[in-house]
Amino acid sequence: MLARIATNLYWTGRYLERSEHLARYLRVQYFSMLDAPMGQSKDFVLRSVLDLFGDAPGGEAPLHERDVLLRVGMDYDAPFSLRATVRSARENASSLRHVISTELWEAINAYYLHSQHTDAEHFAQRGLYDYTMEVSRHCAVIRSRIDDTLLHDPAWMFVKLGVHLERVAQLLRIISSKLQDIRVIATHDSPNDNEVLKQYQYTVLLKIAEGFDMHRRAYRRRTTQRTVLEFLLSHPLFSRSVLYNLQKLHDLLRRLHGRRNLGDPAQFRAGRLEARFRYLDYEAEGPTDRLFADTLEEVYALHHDIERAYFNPVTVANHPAQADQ
Amino acid sequence: MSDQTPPATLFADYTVPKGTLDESFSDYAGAYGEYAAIRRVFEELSAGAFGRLNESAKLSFLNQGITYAVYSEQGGGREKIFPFDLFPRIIARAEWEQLERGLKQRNTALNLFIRDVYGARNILREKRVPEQLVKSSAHYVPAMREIRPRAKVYTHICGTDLVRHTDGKFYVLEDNLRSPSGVSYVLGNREALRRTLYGMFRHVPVQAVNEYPAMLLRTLQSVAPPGRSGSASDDGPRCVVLTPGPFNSAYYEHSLLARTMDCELVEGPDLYVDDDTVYLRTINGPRRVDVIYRRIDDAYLDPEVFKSDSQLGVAGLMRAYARGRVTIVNAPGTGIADDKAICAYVPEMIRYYLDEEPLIDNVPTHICSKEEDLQYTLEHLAELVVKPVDMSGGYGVMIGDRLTKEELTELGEKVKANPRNFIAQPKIMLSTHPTYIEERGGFAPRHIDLRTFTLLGAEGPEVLPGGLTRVALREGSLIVNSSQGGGSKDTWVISE
Repeated sequence: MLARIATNLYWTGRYLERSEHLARYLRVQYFSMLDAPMGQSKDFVLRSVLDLFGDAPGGEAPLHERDVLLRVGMDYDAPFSLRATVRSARENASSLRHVISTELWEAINAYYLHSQHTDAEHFAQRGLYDYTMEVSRHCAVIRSRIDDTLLHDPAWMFVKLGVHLERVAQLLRIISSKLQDIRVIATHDSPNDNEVLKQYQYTVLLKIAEGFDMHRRAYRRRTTQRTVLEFLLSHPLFSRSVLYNLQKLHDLLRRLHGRRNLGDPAQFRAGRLEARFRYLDYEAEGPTDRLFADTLEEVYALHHDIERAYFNPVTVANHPAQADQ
Repeated sequence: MSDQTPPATLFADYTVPKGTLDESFSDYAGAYGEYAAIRRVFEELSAGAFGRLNESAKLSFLNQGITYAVYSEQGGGREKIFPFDLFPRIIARAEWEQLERGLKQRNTALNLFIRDVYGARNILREKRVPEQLVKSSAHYVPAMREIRPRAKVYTHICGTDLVRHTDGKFYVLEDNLRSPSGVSYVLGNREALRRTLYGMFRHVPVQAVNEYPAMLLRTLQSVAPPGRSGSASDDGPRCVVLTPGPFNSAYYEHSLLARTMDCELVEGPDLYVDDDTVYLRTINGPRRVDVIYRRIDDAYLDPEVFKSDSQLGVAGLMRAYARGRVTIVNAPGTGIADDKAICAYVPEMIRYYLDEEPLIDNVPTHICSKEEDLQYTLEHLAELVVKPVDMSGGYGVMIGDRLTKEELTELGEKVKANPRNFIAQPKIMLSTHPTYIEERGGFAPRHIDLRTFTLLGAEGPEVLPGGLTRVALREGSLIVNSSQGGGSKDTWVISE
């Protein structure tokens, strides 16, 4: 397979997955603001949203809801916005039409057209719920097209590699961002209210990962920080846990390489990451900021390993035309 | 004949305009004798039944994905279907055999001409073709003076456009020697017709066209670098299709040909040159490339030799080509012979190189860079068709009798200012063919031409049976190009 085709398959998977997480985060966070026990401050939620999209607001100046929503949702000029992310997914897929199925291409195209035809003003005023729910629906269709209309050959593996790697990255970012929210709440006064609020934030976190119900089935007891983090980080059977996706990554890399080989840097790193979460000792180390930051860096390093192994396998020395590019 | 108009509704209002030849109704030498039987198939259909068939043919194109990219803002991209007409154009066997010989003769001579121009230059020294005309062509590539392509083949794929005049004979309008496109429609049209009117194929023996990808692959493989063809190397010669990318309007065709030949569809950045050898970047490392069927223009091929800012090509490609380590199809610089002024000399080339008379005549052409031709053109502007020498797609074509006085004066000034840029031809009344017009709910005559595809490999020339019949859908229009409101028809060559 051409390295470029593999790259585009991988990035199609990453952008699709990213758009879905961002949309879900936006929806759940935004509506948590409306039905929170204490009526959380709007500013607090908007800052958290901007932070996750990667557009950290500078200073203390009050944020305007409409501006923030337009920016993270509809602004084609902001590369992190939902619309721009969906467009990137489609751009990558458009060069793959001879590789992927018509069904998958049409599903991605329909997703893009939906995003493209959404009225920005309507979205910012009263369309946020509908738009983000449609995003989830389109993504669900696309996921089924990926799994059910492609051969599970290397082309499929590259898409899935993108999906799982992005999911790990977004989960880590979402969890650490919510833990940050909880810390901010804890520094406020009136400790009684804070307990309730903190509790509520864990519920929000589970809902962002669409894991609220399954968490209850898995633990059958009160939601605590420990159960929530254990569930989202290390549950081996929950498809939106970090561990589950690391297992998938490890497995895909092994299949792409052809056999189990610790000499393959990508396999080695994925295996090591998987082991870290499989044997995470909550009593001893607990999930600290360090853990999230380190893991994210490892995930990005894994991306570079994949890039080196499959996407630019050829580096040409003494190639004058490439020096300026 | 028009006075024998059949009673059925679909042909009820069919009248052949005065002074035109209709391939299905008029009587002329070489005409296919069984058109009436084909018409009967349509006559037996009610308007509603035909409408349904027409819709189902359209659907066949959408489902096959044979669409045009229409550029839009924000990279949205919409796709349109190339209009397709269900009434097949039929060429009788005897006439086709004659055409086939003529096309082979023509491409053989063109290839010898290009080889001569970049080599010994005999035809120029003997002044059979003016040297100035060749050297001033925008498509002349000086680097080709140093290069000897594999098997002495330059024009591997030639798209010659033919028109049938009112005298019933075919004439050559022009040759396309750079990247002639349209063959995907030939394949798609046949498929669409087979899906909708399969009954007709039972009664008429039609030559197959679906062999084209195999023919093309054979041609490509036959010109692979020495030691790389056949079983000599591990996996046989590796051929690739080089495309400018998905935003190109012919991307569908590039992707179809790659798929049906089982070759990689590559873009410039997928290739690189190391030690004058071309490699493909794959997920398993580099793979050597032997033959590049390129669908990008010369100017973008190699930033070291042509446009230095080209992102579409491959740096060092021409070095690898010069050393014979890779074959480029068609060879760079073949565009000199599709310059419309040089095209006028093809009959001369046939006489010079092959010592034969041309089997297919050119449309008579006045070359404005010749003093007496310029004079004639300026005096007869209102009766002539004036064309820029290096444009394709029907762009810049001016039909004298459709211009106002002011427009004629303006055109005269333009031609006088730069005579090398123009040729003039008498207005050829392209033949017409019954074409379904939705607004009328029936068939009406529309002008057609024929793009043929001739391949030239190490083993000699081969012609795709038939080709692409293009239709000017607007009433009275003579411009058949798809970019200017043209459609197409399936083209049948009768096999027995």
